[in-house]
Amino acid sequence: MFDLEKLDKTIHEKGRLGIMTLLATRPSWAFQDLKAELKMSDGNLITHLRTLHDAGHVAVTKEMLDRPQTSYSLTAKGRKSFQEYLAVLEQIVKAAQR
Amino acid sequence: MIDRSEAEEHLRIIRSLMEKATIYRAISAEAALIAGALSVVTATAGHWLAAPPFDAPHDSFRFAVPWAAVFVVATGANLFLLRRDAQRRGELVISQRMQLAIRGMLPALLGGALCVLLPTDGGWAATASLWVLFYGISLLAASHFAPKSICWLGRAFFAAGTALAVGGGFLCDWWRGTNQVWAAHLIMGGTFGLFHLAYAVCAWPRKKTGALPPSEP
Repeated sequence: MFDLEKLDKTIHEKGRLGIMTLLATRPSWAFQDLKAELKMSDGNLITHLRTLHDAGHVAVTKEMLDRPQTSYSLTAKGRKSFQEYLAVLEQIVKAAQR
Repeated sequence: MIDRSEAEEHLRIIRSLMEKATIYRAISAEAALIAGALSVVTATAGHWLAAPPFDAPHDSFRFAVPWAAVFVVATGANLFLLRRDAQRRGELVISQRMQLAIRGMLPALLGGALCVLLPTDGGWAATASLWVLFYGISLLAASHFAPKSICWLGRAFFAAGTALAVGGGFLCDWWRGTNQVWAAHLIMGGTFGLFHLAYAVCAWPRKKTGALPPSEP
């Protein structure tokens, strides 16, 4: 067992973890691409994105291409938190293997 | 408190999503449609021009040159469409995933191109069969980070190329007796044309509904 206090609770929720993981793989993701990849409803995805945005993990860019498009990316703080979260998970697994 | 199984479950989610995100579609559906349509047109025209009364000498201008032009146009269209898609996603055009795809596919593509130099004595059907086989190998070389539709396209080309090469070997006398330009165009139209059209239908992006969410952060 491991102390949950060491984990970033904002990231620990599965839906938000999925969002953070995808955002870590590319410089930015369009809303529709995130929705398609994670198979989430609009409302669910927006709620999670808002939580991550409020926590300072995610930056939002709105631009006008052939139609309005909203893209999301990890902030420096978000990337650092995600890396720390991964490190904690690895520690938990390693500790349990000993 | 969090236990090992929960941590492993979260790591599994991360790994599976990261793997999905590295999947790279090296051939866009639109480019496949262009390549397929061009191939069918070229094969039909070439096939018709290879039949009497136009069935004169089997020179490269009747087979290799038109297909080299198809390759250049189709590759150019594919690169343009991949660039457009990468820009839409805010990615680098020559991304790490594209570099991986090129590194995987290039050796087999070069091998196929070099088949033109084989002394087949005008045996263009054999050259076309090898092109089909090498193209299939090149697609399969990128299959570990490609979507399923590209894996199936690679398998189809590999199976057709193998069948044509083996069949051509067994039926050597009959093979040599046919009009080589005519047969080669038929092979190219039947594989590069129809297979790419089938792939374009399967991989064509479906219209997304709900273009914009009601309110976003």
